[in-house]
Amino acid sequence: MELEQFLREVIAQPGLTGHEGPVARLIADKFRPLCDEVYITSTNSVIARKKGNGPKVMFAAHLDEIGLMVTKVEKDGSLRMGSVGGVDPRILPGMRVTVLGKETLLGVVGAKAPHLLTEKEREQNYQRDDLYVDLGLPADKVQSLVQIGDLIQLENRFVELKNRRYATKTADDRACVAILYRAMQLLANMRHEADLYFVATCQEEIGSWGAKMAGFEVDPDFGVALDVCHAATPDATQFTHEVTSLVASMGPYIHPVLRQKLSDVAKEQNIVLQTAVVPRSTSTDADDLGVVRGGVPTILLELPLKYMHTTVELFDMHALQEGGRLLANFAAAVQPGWEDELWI
Amino acid sequence: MLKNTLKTLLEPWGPSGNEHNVADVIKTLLTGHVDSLRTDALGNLIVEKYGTDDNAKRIMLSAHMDHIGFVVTAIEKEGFLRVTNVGGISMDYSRGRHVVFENSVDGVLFCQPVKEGKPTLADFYVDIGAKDKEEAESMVQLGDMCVYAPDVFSIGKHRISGPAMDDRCACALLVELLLYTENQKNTIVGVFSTQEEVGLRGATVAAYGIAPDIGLALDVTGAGDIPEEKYPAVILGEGPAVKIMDRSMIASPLVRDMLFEAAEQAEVKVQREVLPYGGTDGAAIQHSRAGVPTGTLSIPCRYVHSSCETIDMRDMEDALKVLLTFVDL
Repeated sequence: MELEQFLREVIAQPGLTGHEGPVARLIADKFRPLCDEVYITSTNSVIARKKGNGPKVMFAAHLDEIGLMVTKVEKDGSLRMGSVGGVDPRILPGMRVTVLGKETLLGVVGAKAPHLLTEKEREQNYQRDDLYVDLGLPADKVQSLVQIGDLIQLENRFVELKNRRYATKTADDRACVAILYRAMQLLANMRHEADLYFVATCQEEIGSWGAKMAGFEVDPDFGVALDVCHAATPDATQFTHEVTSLVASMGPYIHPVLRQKLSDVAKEQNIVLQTAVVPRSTSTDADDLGVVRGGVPTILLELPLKYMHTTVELFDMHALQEGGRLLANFAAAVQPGWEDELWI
Repeated sequence: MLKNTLKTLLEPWGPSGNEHNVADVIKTLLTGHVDSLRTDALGNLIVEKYGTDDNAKRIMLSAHMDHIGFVVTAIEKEGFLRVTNVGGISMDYSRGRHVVFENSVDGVLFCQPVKEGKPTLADFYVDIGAKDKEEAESMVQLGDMCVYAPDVFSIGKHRISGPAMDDRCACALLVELLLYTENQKNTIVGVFSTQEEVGLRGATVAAYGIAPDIGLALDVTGAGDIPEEKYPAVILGEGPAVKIMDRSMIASPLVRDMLFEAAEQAEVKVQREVLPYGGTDGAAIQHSRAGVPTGTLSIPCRYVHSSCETIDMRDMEDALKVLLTFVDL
């Protein structure tokens, strides 16, 4: 299956943090023909294994997505909301949403019109408490269909721009799940010694819990976390990277020898790899994967995208495909005995 | 009786890390009524009551024994004690409080005048009536802890106030559940946990050791039916609350829905809770090992982390009904 089609389908499936069931089932189905065994854990991580006799390697990209949750139903049927993961209220006015109530309901995020704001109000951004979801339904109907705690999913079209760029919701981090998928496709025609685990993790957006739990389950010798990072925009040139190629982070949370091995593979394969320096925690699955059980040498591979945590997360399909190629070649390069070399 | 058990459990002195007195009281209440009883390395009291079903699940129910307090960091030459917080202490709730040490030394917690801005904990001191440092040192030492003195009273017909309601009310529920459940399908692994208020530390190791099939934390949640409360929240006396999410955890849909099912079977009205702050032992259980489906049943409570934490006994009675059904699902 083409990567674009894979992405369209997995991004369309709901999978808000803590409620990843639907997207986990779809990803498990997509992975199944490409691996020896696949299952979904009790907390909705997908674990796919391609067997080998060498060291156990775990690749992790999270499948959960940020969104909102109903906190109150107002008298007129408008819904107040809290966030599930980091949702910036500034992106919400005018957002199309799906409320996962007793029925799946389409809604829009509204606010007081600019004409009705005071001078002072107009100077400020809308805060979450100024906003509400409007379902267009009468209050009693809303009361019967929607309850406190129901999920609200952010929506947008899957947009193909020119130059192999795409803008979509939830590229964070399903674009990296697509990298796992691509690597598995390529590995169908490659030899590998390593025992490979491709894991789509749950609950990253509230603290990389999925990597911690799935990492305990898999108990790998090495870990590779995949997540998105910030691509450069005209107003953000520091701590950002070119959108066109992948990034391998370095820093205290990243295993230096393992990172060098990834870098060597990239060089051999003529894959462009940018460097990010992360002086503290990486705020990705790498943090928790690294300290699972007795500790797992872990590295972090990142796909740059623009406009993170919006519904127009913009990435470059070429970079994504190169990610699949890098991961597959890295997986094939892992040899028995690597675990001894890493500490020299 | 639930109310008597609660009153008994509100008495013992037990800030985080010093829960042994509470554990002793619970041991006395439960000895002879459960299948096993042990204490682990972090002081968690772990009690099992076996299920009858061939496919019995092991359900870890956790209620924390510790409550917030203060620890002595310096003794001044005038005999005043400087303290810092153990757990989430609010300055606003602390000025002019009666506090008590484990050895029954009483003190007054007060705040010195502050020239600019709001007082911080560094401005607080404890007056234990000592005339100088020497006398103070004969009464308490550096590192000794104190808590809001147990002052438990009823307000109105159904409500009780006291400083350790968080989370002794849940300890009382768990004790009563273990006393009254009989031949239930699933195995109850009751954990009276330690060090919740300083980072869910007791439940973290208990969950690792137990490796349960399902987890359920029992804790209080902030009731929002007070003047000028800014968060929409649960209401006191309207029934126990099933947590959907808080800052520490998104409840596993499986366990959340089991609680709704239990409530329906028990014909109890429950509230739905989305809390924009806070956390419970549930997070520690859910994220343990390879993950454990976990939820939280909450008792609505006004003035959480004050010396007058207030709950409604009708919510407690209803919570017990839900739990009795839950362990039999």
